[in-house]
Amino acid sequence: MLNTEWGLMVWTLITFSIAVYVLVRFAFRPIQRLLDARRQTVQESIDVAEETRAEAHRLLDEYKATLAKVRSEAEEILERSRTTGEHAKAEIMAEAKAQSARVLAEAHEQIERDTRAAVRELKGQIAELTALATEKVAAGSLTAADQQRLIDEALAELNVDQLGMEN
Amino acid sequence: MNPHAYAELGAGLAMGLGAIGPGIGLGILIGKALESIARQPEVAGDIRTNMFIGIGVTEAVALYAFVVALILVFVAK
Amino acid sequence: MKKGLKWVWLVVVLIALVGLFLLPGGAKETVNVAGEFDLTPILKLPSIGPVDLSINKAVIYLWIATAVIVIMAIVIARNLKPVPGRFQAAVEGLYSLARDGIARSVMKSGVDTWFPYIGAVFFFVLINNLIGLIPLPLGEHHQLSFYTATANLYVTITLALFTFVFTHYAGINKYGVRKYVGSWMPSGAPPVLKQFIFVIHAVSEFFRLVSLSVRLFANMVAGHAILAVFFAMALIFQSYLIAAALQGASVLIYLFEIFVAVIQAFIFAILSAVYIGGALDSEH
Repeated sequence: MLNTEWGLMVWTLITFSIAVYVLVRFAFRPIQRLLDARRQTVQESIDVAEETRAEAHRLLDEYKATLAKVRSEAEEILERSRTTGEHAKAEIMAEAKAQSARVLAEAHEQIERDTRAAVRELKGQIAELTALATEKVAAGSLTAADQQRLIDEALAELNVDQLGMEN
Repeated sequence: MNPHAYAELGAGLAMGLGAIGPGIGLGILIGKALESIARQPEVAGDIRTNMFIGIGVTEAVALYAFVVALILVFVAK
Repeated sequence: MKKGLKWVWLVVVLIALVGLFLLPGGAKETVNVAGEFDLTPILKLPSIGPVDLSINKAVIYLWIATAVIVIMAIVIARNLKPVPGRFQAAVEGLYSLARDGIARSVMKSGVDTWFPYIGAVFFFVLINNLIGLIPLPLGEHHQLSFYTATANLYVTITLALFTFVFTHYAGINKYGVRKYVGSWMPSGAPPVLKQFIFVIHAVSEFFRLVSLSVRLFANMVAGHAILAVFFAMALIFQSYLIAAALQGASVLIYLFEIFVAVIQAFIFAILSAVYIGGALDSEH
């Protein structure tokens, strides 16, 4: 069992050398290359994912900031428009009030003027009619002074001033 | 007794006696390694690797006895 | 039902045991266990000086192992894909066991340079050991028998010599002869002690060679011898009962031998890595 076997040593040398060559050439190198390539791929995809995540974060922050800005702006605009609206409303109301007051006043004035004109005309006609009637009733019996007194009495009874004011 | 009987007796004694030391040594070695793994499971891999190196070295002592026994039986006829 | 079945089994086993006990044994035979490890030339080849290149069963086992390695390597190289299947995942697992578990775990530097050798020696010894556990018809009378190339001291010595040569080549290549040999001695010691330690270190370097080869050889021989002894004992005791028990036990030993085959390949490779790594980091 323990005899020196030089031949076997040579055979071992040969077979082991073949095994080393084949293993290194066909197994170790391709597997190492593959593992390195895979590691690189994984590293790359991790990098890309990291980058994408950072980008997404950045975008999200940006959107949030924009959104906040837009919201505050909208708030401001709303506020401004509300105050403006209020102002406008107040102005319009004031103007409308003023206008309505003016129109009312004008209307009053017009009415008064018309009333006055009507009264004046009425007065003239009444006077004329009274004179005519009186002339017909008591032709010639009345003096001019009596005639004037009757007209005044009739006018006082009619109280046209008050009639005009009731409108 | 023929002279070869002494060689065979010697071979048996060599193997038997030579296995005592490595047996104790392996027991201590593996026991300590397991203790260490139990204490620090996070370095179990390192401990196991070194344990195998230690087993290899310790076991070699028994194998020397084995080789001596082989020589006694087959060579020193 | 279940309990009844158990009883049936017990009775069957008992009957089998008694039957085995009562069966007459075969004729007494002697088995030469050591003969299992003798190398007789199968194909005579001319010898060159002391080198007899005859093909014996150790050489055949070596060639079978090499053929297995070559076929496996080429199959692996052909089928490598970026996305691994089941087979490739197993291959990659073995590869990273050899690279990270053996070379990288004990070497501080030079993993990339020396891994090819360490990995190759791991797989070569592993395949050789495992092939040795397959019964092949290469026995004395072409009966099936166990043998392995690594159960021969000269195979393992050749492998250990590779490690030995590479260890010192690595050290000399890195530090130069003077500095490398100088690193065997402690720097701050008196000259006599220095020389003494140098001699001790030189002897220990030589014994590394011996222990590396003898460990693998003796483990393989012991394992195969125990298997052979168990088979032989069946013939010696001439009883079918004992033979059945022994075959059961030899199955357990066979399983243990598979474990030993893997562990010894692992230890051979890791010690090679330790020695080469030690030479590379031998600066004191």
